[in-house]
This record gives sequence, C-alpha cells and structure tokens, in this order.
Amino acid sequence: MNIVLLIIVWLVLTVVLERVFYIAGISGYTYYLTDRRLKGFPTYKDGKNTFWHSPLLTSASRLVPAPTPHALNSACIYDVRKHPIRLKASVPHGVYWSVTFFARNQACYFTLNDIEAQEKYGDEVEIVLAGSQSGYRPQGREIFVQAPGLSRVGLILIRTVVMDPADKDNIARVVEVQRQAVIEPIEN
Amino acid sequence: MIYLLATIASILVAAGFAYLEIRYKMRPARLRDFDAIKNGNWSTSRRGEGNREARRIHRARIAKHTGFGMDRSEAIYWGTSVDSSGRPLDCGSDYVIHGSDPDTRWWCLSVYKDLFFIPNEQDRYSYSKTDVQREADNSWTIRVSAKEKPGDWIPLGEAAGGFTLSFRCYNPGASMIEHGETIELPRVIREDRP
Repeated sequence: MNIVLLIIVWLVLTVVLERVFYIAGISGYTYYLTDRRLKGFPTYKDGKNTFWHSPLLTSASRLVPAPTPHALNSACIYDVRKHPIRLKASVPHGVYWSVTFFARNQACYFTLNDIEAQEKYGDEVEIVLAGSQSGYRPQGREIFVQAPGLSRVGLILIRTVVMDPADKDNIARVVEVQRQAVIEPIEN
Repeated sequence: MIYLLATIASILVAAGFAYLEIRYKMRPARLRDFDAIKNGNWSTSRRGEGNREARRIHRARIAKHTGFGMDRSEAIYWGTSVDSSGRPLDCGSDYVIHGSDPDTRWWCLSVYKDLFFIPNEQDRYSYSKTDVQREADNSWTIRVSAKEKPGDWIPLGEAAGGFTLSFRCYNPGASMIEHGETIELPRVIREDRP
C-alpha cells in the first residue's frame, strides 16, 4: 500500500479513536465523580431511600461545593433497583421550594417547584420513582417518574429557601414542613 | 507486524490526546468558559447546570466543581471571579456591589472561597432579595470586605487570596432566560483604600 495512504489511514484512525476515548473518558469520569459525591452523604451506606434533613449550611459544611446559604436541603440517595419508591412531601407557602431528581451524570431529570405543585396538586404531593423497566401503574394523584437506565441509584434533593436566615420563627416553621418529607418503598 | 505496531501506536496516541484534552477542559478556570452566556464580568451556563442536553464536558465540570444544579427554567447561576473592571476579586480589597432586582422570582448573592463559605463571626455569607436593605429607588448595595462596613456587609473574615461571587436567580423570568447577555446585573466595584 502507498505509504502516504497508510499515513492518512493511521491519522484518521487515531483521530476517531481519540474522540471515542474522549467521550468514554469524560462520561465515565462524570459518573465516577458523582458516585464519589453521593458516597459522601451520611445516608449512602445504610440509609438509602431515607431523607437526610440538613440545617442551614455554614462555613463548616463540606458536603456539596458552592452550597445555597439560604436553603434548607433534604437529600435522599434513592435506590430503585429492587422496587419503586413513593415520596410524600408538604409544599410550604410563601417560600421557594422544589424537589429535583438527579441522575448519576448530573442531569436533573425531574423538577417540581412550589408554584407548579400547588397549582396542580395542592399542598401535598406524592411522587413515585421507578426504574426504567418498571411496570408500575400510577394511582390517583401520584406523579410517576422513571429513573434513567444508568441511574437507578441517584439523588433526590428538596430545596426550601429561607427568605431571611435571621427570622428564627420562619425557619422553625419551614423546618417543620421540611421534615414532613418522607420516602416509603412500594413492595409488590 | 508493522500494522500491529501502527495500531498500538494509534491507540496510545489517541488515549494520550484524549487524556490531555479532558485534563485541560476540567481545569477550574475553564468552568464557565465553554457554552457560556457572558454579561460583563458575570457568566453562566448557556444550557443550565442540570440540563439533560448539556454537553458532556459541562456536566463533568459540574460534577467536579459544584454539583446538582438545576435547569435554566428553574434557576440561573451567575458567577464571577473578577470585578466589573475585570480585576480579580481579592480578599485584601473592599468591594461595593450595587444592583436592582432582575427579572426573577428570588435572588441570592453569596461569596465563596474555593467553592465554600468564608468563615466569619457573623455567619453571614450572602444577602437575598428578601433580606437586603433597599434605597428609595428600590436598588440595593452590599459591601464585601474583611473590614466592618455599614449596611449590608458580607465579611471576608481572615481569608486571603481570591474569592468568587455567585448570583443565583430562582424561577428566572423570560427576559433573563432569553436575553441573559444584555440584562442588568449587579455591578462589582473595588474601592480604593486610603
């Protein structure tokens, strides 16, 4: 074979391989970094599918970089590999509130905020999260969400914004609502 | 034999370049460079921190440097590490941040060093739309300094070196989502010490 043609073929092959390695590497690295961060949550090892209710964060907080200083966060490492789960939460009034589901590649694949929740579902919401192959059929007012195939373990985050961190009465009221969020398994 | 060696060389060269490309793009300084909306000294992700269609490299950078951001329709995260003149933010300087409410349901301006809050006696790391003091024209001023300042003041404590500002906007309005490059954002002015 002509040597010039060989060099061209080699270069094309190398460029194609570089793109393949790059895409595989950056995707795998994202999953690795997210998994490492999820493992840092207090409930990762023994408390999957339970909420960990965080107080207002301070300079000592190291769980998540660049945290929101005005937010009370409720975090849950979900695991729907064996069965779906049901999230029940109260929606507070007069503050920003949202529930978000995160995949292991950082994609936020479900979001519901207080305005949408109150318009569509009232002051209580029930969200069922299942794996992508689940045959679960939602009942009543349940919101049904399917986790992406590679994210049957991931993160649920409820953010409740405290409008003024100095307003202790308001914080106490918001904390009371925050702690009403629970996860329960849906067994067959 | 020559074909086998050429194939092995191709794999090694490709893997090496892929590794270098990932390392280069993952540097903290590149966090907001790609696919970013820029507005003066502020910038934000064009597709949103948690957007499902975000580029792989953007999601990888989010995983490494911040984590678990929401889509642009829910929250827009503006950030800067320089003042409005382009000079790096420095804990040894005093800053006045002046602005008015942008088109968003709620905002919060916070200070970070190495992505975490700066320890200070007041435990004050931010001000928001609902707790900032306002002028007669509804504008507001926040001071960022190690030295105590009148009014709304975010202390820099004992920190040294650079710091960053984050301006989070929850439930942004249409003008912020569609015209992020031209909306009015807070001005960050370094005050010269006497």
